Amino acid sequence: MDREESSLKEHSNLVESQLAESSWEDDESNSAEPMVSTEPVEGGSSLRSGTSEAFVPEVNLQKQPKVWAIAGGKGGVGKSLICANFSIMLSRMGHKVLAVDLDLGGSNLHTCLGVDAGKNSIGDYMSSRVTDLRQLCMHTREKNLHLITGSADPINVIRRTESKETDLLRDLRKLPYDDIVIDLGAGTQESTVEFFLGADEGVLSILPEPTSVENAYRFIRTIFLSKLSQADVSESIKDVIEASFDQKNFLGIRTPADLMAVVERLDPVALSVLQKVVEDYHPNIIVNQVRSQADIDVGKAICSVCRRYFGLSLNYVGYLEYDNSVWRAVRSKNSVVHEFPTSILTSRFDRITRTLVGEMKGLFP
Amino acid sequence: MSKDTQTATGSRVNYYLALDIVPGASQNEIHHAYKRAKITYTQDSLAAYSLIEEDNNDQIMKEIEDAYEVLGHPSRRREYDIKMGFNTWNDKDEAREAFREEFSKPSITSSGTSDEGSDNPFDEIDFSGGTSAPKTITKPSKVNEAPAMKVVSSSGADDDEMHFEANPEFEEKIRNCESIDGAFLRAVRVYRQISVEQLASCSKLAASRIRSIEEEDLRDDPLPVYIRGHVAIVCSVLKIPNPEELAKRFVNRLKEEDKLPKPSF
Repeated sequence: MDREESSLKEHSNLVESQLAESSWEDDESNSAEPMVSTEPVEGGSSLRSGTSEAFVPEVNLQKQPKVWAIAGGKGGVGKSLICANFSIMLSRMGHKVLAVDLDLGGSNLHTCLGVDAGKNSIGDYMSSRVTDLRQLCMHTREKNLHLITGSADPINVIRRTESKETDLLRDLRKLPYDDIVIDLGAGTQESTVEFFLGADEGVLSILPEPTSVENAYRFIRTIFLSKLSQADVSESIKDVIEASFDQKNFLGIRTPADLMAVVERLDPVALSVLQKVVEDYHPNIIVNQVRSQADIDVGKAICSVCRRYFGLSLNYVGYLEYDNSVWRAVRSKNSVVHEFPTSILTSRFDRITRTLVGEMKGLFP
Repeated sequence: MSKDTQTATGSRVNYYLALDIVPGASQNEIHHAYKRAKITYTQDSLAAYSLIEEDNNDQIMKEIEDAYEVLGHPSRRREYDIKMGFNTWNDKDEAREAFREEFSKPSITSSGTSDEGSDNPFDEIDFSGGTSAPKTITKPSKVNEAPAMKVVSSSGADDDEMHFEANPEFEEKIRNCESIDGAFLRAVRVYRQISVEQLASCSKLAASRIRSIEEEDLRDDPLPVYIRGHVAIVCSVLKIPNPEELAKRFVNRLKEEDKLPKPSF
């Protein structure tokens, strides 16, 4: 413990020494000219030390960053891959970006970004050892991209997450970035769902495989009900929504249609409120590891099924081919965009990023 | 048949939403949306099997069929649009879609198999128009010769000449076809703007004979021995190259599919 405290103190001194300097290199060209180059930034291929690159960005109270949450419902569907490469693409468009690894217990976003783990992580914030998130921000190979890792998180940090999630999201929004991209963990635990719903845009990664699709639907069902439970309706309606989380509930509610039918009977006004909530919510999906046109069409089919079943209009923002460049990049402890700048996946990430920021139209609807 | 269908959340939606398309969609888009919807809601569909129960799936399939039953036919679709207040039509659209409807049946492509991406032979044709001048064809002088009709200018047309708007892509499809079926013969006839009666007049065949060839309903044909020759004549009149060979393949396929009358001796 003493050694940890001394390390933090050392880090804090380093941070203070950098405080006087602006954290961003203030050249106008950064923000004025979109960075569309797919060339890797100079700096060698070896991993960089997180601690030595730590810095403190200035607090900007004028503008709040846009928060993106990347989830998947299942492990191994490419959440960190998408998070890392999407962050890089955003930063190359001139956005100032912070990638945050909240895949606690399974964090490896730093590896996907080609960055050394460093000594400090989001776990220090969760454990209240660090209160200022700026002390955890690290440089990456990209000039406009910073990272908060989750690698050095304490074993019990997952249990502490739920109590800190509101504070974390609030504090993240105070940071001086244009975009904050959060890599969430697998599963449908409450903190993951809360971060997904709390973000400005949620992105769901799905593989065209039964296991992934099943877990994705489970995740969508959870965010659907959680979103409804946040609506401005009476407590009795909230109780009904709460009961429907359990598939074997005493009200006999099995599907969203059943739920809406019960709400309509109890309070027709609440029904219109809930319908509005559903209509206004548009999570994004990406289909990863596609091998055929049929796999690409799975994304469209999922959108169609979700619209019918949940009433949710998903945005199908793009797909990623099954490609050897992914494992080769991971073996090299680097991002696909850096390692294979001319690969088809790099162009896919470029397209997906442009679709997510609204420059291009998605695949469905 | 209800005009609306309902989503899971209780919102009433129209036929367009049933097929996941917008009211301004073209007939081609409707056709593809229908095909996609049918694939999406099959029982073993990856996207549906874990979420939609079998009973609901059947209901959804019925909604999709109901929607396509109306939207898949331009005239019914127009009626529906007017009733629902969708102002998505103009005269040009109507003429174009009516033309498309004539060719909405699947056809055998030049490679002899149905096109994977589209089973509508006219999906690949650009109907934007304006690039080709109207042409006319005259009746054949001898039915077994191909091509038996000649293209002449519309100004010189007489009673036996038929006007049609040439489409280079479809002409190429006709030129390159390696096998035919009844639907394709019908598609070519309608494209050439020749009625069954006109074709009967040109080919000296009975109108009922031409209809039975187009529908491939030849099982009760009293003159099975002449089928190949009659198909060759129809091909010749319609200016489909290599009529003899195509007719031979046509008859062989019907034989394999057991669609020909059995010999009576």
